[in-house]
Amino acid sequence: MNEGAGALRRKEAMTDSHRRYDWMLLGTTLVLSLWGIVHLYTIGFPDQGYYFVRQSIWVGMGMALLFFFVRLKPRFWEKASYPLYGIFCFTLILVLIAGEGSHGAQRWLKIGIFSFQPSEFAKLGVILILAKVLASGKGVGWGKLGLSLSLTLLPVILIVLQPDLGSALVLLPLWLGMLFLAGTSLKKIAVIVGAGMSLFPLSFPFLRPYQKVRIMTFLNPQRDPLGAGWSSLQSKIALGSGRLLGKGMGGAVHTRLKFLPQPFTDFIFASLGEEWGFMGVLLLLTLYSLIIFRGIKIAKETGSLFARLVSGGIIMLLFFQVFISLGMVAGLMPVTGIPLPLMSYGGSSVLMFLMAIGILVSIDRLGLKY
Amino acid sequence: MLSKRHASQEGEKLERRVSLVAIVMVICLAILLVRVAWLQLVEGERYFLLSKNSRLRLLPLSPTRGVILDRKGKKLAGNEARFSLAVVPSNVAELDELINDLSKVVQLDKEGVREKLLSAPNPFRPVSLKKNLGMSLVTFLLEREEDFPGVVIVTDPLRTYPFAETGSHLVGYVAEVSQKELVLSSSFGVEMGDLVGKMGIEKAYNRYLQGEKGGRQIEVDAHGRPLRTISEADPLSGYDTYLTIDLEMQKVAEEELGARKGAVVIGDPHTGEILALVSHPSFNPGLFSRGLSREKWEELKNNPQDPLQNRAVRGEYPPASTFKIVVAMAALETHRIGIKDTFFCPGYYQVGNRVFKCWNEYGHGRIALREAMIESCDAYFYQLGLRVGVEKIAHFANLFGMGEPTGIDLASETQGLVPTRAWKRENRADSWYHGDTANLSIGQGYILASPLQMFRVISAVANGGYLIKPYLVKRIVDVHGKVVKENSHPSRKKIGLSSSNLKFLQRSLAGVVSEGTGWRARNETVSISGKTGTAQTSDEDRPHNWLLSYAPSDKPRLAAVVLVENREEDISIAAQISGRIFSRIFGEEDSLASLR
Repeated sequence: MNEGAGALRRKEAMTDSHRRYDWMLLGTTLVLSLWGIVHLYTIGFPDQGYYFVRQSIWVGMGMALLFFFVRLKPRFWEKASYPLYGIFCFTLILVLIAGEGSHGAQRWLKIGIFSFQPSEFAKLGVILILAKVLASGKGVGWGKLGLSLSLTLLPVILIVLQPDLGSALVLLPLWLGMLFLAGTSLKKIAVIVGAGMSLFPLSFPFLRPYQKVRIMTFLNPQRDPLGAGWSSLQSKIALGSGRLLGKGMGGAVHTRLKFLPQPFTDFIFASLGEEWGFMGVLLLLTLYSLIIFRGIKIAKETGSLFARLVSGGIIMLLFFQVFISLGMVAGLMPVTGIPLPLMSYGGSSVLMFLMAIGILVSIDRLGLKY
Repeated sequence: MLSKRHASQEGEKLERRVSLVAIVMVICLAILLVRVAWLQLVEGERYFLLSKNSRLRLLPLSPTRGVILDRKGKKLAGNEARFSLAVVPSNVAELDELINDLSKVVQLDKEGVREKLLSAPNPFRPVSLKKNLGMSLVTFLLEREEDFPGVVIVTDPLRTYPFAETGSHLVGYVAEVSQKELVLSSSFGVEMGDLVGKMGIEKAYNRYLQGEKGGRQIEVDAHGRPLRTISEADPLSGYDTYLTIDLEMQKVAEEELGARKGAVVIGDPHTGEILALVSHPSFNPGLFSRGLSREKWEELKNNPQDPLQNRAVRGEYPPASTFKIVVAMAALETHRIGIKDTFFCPGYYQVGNRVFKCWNEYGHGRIALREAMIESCDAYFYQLGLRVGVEKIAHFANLFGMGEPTGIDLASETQGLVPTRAWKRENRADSWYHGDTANLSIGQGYILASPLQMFRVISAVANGGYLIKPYLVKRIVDVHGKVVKENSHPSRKKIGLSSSNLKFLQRSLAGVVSEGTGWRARNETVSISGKTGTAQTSDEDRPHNWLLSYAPSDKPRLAAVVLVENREEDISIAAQISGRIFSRIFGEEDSLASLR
């Protein structure tokens, strides 16, 4: 009987009921978060404390949540996926009604002294619900596809309305990726991709005019040489001027001179490259790759399809955001606002990713205990 | 056994897919790393220099605003070049020195300029300091460029209006974008200092007219001389907009209205195309393009004559006796009266203990609907209105488009007011009395309408019962003449009136001009049908005067609304003006050739 290598590893794992924490994953996460805090301090001139203190609080809270989540069984997430999804969609509606705006978009929900960005948490909600739906029953038929698409499109539409195109569009490849992991036949995936591409222009008449402008600029930044085009050039200068060894901590002159929009959030990689140079970039990519590889390993070894889809979804989300965020600064991607996981300033994003890592570790430890 | 094997194969397939995803990720990250290596290791030196010396300049290139033309292609709004003085903050060596030097040649608010330059959001973008420089100053500054580091002369197009006050309200004007508009339209590429439409077509079609900005990113040497262009995008000119307006007709209407306060609307009653839209007093929109001084602006804004108000679209007036068209239709359609039924007019009508006067104090005697329309007998309509009731009257007013915006393609218009019992309870905290109905029956009291709304009413009579949607833009074309947007299928909806009632109404309206209150519109060129109205105002001796009309009576080609505010003449001046306008338009060969 040939049960495959994975099953064999699973057997081994079963004998060890108290698996150790994945310290490699936890350590890498901690290093990235701390690097982010320190980096925000160095580029936060003149009020360095502001971002530093806030981000430290967020990371602290996120770490506490992470270690709490580590103790929750995957079973819990499976049960909680529908209610959580409901809550996240509700907050997305709430933010449209009662949200706080900045830069012409309405993204924040204020609870007490904290402001949350529901779209960040919704990403996690989508991963859980998709895993639940796709892992239930056998195979992935058209019915399941339709259901999973609807469940993805609801938050996508709500987020587009804010409007936050970047966050909304990252959910669609995530859905596609999870379909792939769930074993959807390649033929079906090809049909979906084809249909999506041909349907895209049809959505145009329904968009508001400024959203059209954004999409056009998204597709072709050359259209906007003064706005997105200028940011794109300036970010390349900041990144490129770091050369091999960088300008050293606190040396991100180009960033500090306010050449870049959103230097603490969407464009944080530009200043990282400027201060740390290519060596720093190499280190950064190594750290992300470590997280990705641990995540992939967890996804492969876990015994349940649900847990595999959750861990795969988390890793893909992290990967998409890293790739888009870095690619945008390097001029490989059009300019869109998406935070660099664990590094960009912003509580919601940091909390969400730390929670996600917590889930990942719990799957690794308890993946077989239902 | 078979299914188990199947399951394990399935399991392996899924594991393989995880590995595949990992491989794709690795490839993507590798591409990213190569790209960053290229930027930092290969091109790093150049970027390092660029970042160190800030040797980059950004030159915005302004698009040319689209022109506005009448239906025959006469230019109502165009562009001329003008020069403005701007400073690129990043190129300034010594700020105070520069401001001092500049203030010797140009009049400047030194503190204001300092503030403006220091707070510039992007130090590489020219900050405009003074517009409309004279040619001599431009040459002076260009010759001594080196003495004024950071100073640039920017060429901007100046918006011009060749026909000045003609059609000023409908064409509108442009001025610098306000802080509030900036927030609303930031995503359309509008930035501080940009000119945007503030009124009329300029505002409503700003998005089409403004075009798209271009820009050039250039690398300069240590002396600020351009070395090479890094990237460049040409500005895209705005679209040209052809109006439905006929400049000749607009002029005729303006001339005939003369110096009186009021409004004229002329259009095709079948399609809703507006051929002339006049509001007087008016203003010269060109004043705004050159930058209006604060005092001038205050003067225009606070002028008691209100020249900035577009009376044709935003003015609210009691429709007075012109509203009898609606009341008569409501009575006939609801069968509250036959065309032969009569009421008696002794010169007044008593409702409860209130006496409502007819305009003819001697009374019209016993008359039927046709005579009541022709003579505009108030006493008849008090009685008719009370028989129909306020709710039915209001219902028919709504059917004729009153109490709602007309949907014309301008940024703002009034919706007027059609009062009902519910409206009065909510807004006046009072119940509706018979006296209110009596007043409503002759278009007085709470009811309000704009001349454009009344244009819809008379058009519906002229075209056989269709409610038209008035519009001003015929088509929009790009620089190559390609049509971007065309209004070729104007929308109109059937009101649902019986054709015999409509025919009766049309005959009555012909009678109004041929033998009744509208006789002053009579002329030898064309037959006119219409309805007069005289609206009481707070100034008892100077009522507003209306004529809704269309011509020719048998086969209407044009409909017109003339409103004269606080008429000074003791005659139906609106009828007289309408008659003259129509006889001039129809007297001219092929002045209507472009109508279908």
